[in-house]
Amino acid sequence: MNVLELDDVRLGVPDRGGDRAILRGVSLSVAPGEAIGLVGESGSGKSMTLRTVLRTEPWGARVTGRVMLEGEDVRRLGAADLRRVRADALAMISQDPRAALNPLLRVSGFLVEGLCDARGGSRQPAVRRARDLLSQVGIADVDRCMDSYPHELSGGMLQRVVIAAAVASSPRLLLADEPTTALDVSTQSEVMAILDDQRREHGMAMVFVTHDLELASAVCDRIAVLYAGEIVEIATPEQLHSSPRHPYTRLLLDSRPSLTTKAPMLPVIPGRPIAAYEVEDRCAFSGRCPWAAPQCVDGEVPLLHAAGRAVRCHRSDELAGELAHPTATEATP
Amino acid sequence: MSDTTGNVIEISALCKEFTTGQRGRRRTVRALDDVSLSVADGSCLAVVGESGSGKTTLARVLVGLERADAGHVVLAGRPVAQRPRRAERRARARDIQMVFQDPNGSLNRRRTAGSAIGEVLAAHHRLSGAEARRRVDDLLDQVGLSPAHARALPGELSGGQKQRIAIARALAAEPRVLVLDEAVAALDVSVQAQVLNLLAEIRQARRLTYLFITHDLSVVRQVSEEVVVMRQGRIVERGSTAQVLDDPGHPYTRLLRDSAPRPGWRPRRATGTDTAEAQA
Repeated sequence: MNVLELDDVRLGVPDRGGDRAILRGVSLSVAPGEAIGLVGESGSGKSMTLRTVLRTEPWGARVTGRVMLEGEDVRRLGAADLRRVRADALAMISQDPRAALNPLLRVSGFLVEGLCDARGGSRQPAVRRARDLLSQVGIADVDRCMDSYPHELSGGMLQRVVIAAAVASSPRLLLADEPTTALDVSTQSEVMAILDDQRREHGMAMVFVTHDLELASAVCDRIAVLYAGEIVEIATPEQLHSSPRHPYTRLLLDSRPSLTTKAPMLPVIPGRPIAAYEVEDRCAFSGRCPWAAPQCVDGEVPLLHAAGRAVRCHRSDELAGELAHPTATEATP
Repeated sequence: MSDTTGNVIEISALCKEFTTGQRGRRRTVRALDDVSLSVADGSCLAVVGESGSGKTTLARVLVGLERADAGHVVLAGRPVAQRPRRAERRARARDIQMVFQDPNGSLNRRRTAGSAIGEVLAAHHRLSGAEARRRVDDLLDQVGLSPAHARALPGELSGGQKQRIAIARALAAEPRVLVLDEAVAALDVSVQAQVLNLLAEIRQARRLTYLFITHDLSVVRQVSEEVVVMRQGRIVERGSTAQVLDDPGHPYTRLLRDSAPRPGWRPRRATGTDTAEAQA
C-alpha cells in the first residue's frame, strides 16, 4: 500500500463571485520509503499540495478529491483522528525553522515536550532520546544546544533541531517545504545530507517541495514538475535531465545558469509563470510554449502515464527527440 | 570625471564594526576587515559570500548608506566624503545606484510605476512634463516593459516586473555604477534568466559598471568577469571569474563550489563545520 495517494485534489479559495483555483487536480502516489520532489515556480501549487495533506489549507478553502494517508482519507478525519495522524504518521519541516519553535522554550523543552507530553512518556528517557537525536543530526555540542533558546542558534542549527524533532516519532511520511531555502549553500548541503541520512535510516517516505530542480534531483527518487496548479511531468531525476518530455521541464532546465559554462545569452521562457486561476480551457503552458500547436489550445490536456513516467503534453511523443539532452546552446524553434 | 587608473571604483582598507547585544553580552562583529578592491570601468565584479560575510555592508558603504570606521572609497575619480553634504549625496547618486533583493522595499505601493521612475528623474534632471513622460517610456522600454506599465501600481505587477521597475528607477539617475545586492535571488528561475539577460544587455548598451552581490556561483559565472570571495568580513580569494570557479585556491571557495547543487551532485556532511557554526 502506498503511504500517500493524492487523487484529483483540487483546491479553490472563495473570491468575488466564485472560486479562485489554486490546485487544478493533483494526482500523485508515494510508496513507502520513497522520496518524491515537487518542483515548480512560485504559485505553481507545490506548498499548497502539502497543506492539503496536513489539512492546513487557508481558511475557507474548498478542497475536493481524496488524500489517502496509509489507506485513510485525511480529508474526512475528525478532530481527534486528525491529531493522531499528525502526531504519529506525519512530520513537517518548513522553510523557516523559527516558525516551528517556541521562542520562549529552550531546545531541550521543545524536544522533550514533543517526545513525552504528546506521547505520554516519562521525562528521563525523553531527555536521553532528545540528546541522542541531536547528535544524530550532527550537533557536536549537545549540552550547549539543549540549553539554548532559538534566538541563540543559527538558522542551520535550528533546522537540524527541527529535523531531530520531525524524525523523533519515526513518522512514515515526512513533508519538507523548502527546508533549506533560508540557509547558506554550504549549510544547505549539510542539512540536506542529514535529512537524507535520517530519512533512509528511519525508512520514511518524503515529499520534498523546492524550486531547485538540481537539489531535488540529488535527494529524490522521482520528481513531479508543477505548473499553474497541476503536475505536468513525473519522472526520475535521470530521465528528467536526459530526456525531459514536457517543454516546460526542458526550458526550466535550460534557463538556469550553469556553474561550469557561461552562456552568451540564457535561453529564456517568454512571459511569466501564470497562476492556476488564469488557466483557460487549454494547456496551461501553451501561451509560453515555443512548440504550441492548434491542438494545445483546444481543451485541457490529460496527464498520461507510460513506462513509469507521466507527462501532460499532446506533442510529447513527436517532440521527444527535440526535447532530449538539454544543452544551453541548442536553439529552440 | 576622468580617472587616471581606469577604475571607476577604488576601495582601500575599508573597516566597519557593529556592536550587537545588550549589556553584559555585548559582541563586536567585524563586518568589513581591511577590504580593498577596484573595479575597472565597464566591467562586472561579483562579490560572493554567505550570510554574515560582509558583502552587503560593503555595498552599503559604497553607496553611502553606511559609514566606514576606516578606509577610503574613490568613486569615479572623486573621494567619497564620510559625512557628505546634500549636494555631494546627490552627485554621488548620479554616479552610483543600487538595486535590492526585494523590489517591494524600493516601491511605494500607492504610487504607480511611472511616478516611481519620474520621482528619480525629477531629482536629478530638469525635464518638462512631456520630456519626463518620454524618458519614463524609454526606461520602461529598456527594461522590457511597455508604456502601459507606467500606470500600474506595484500590486498589479509580478515579482519580475517589479524588479524591472526597480532597475529602471536606478537607471533613471543615469549612473555609471549599478550595485546589485542579490537582485535576482528572489526571482523564479524562468524570470531570473530574463532579468540576467536584461542586465547584460543594459550593461553593454550603457557601458555601465556592475558590482554584483550574490551567493549563487552559477549567477557569478553568468554575469561577471572578476570575482571576490568574502568570508567573515575579509576577502579570501579574488581573480578572474573563470579562474576562481574552475580552479579555486582557497578552501572556502572550494567548499562553496562543492556545495552548489548541479547534475550528479550529492549533499555532503562536512566534518567539523557545525562547531564553528555554533559559535556564530
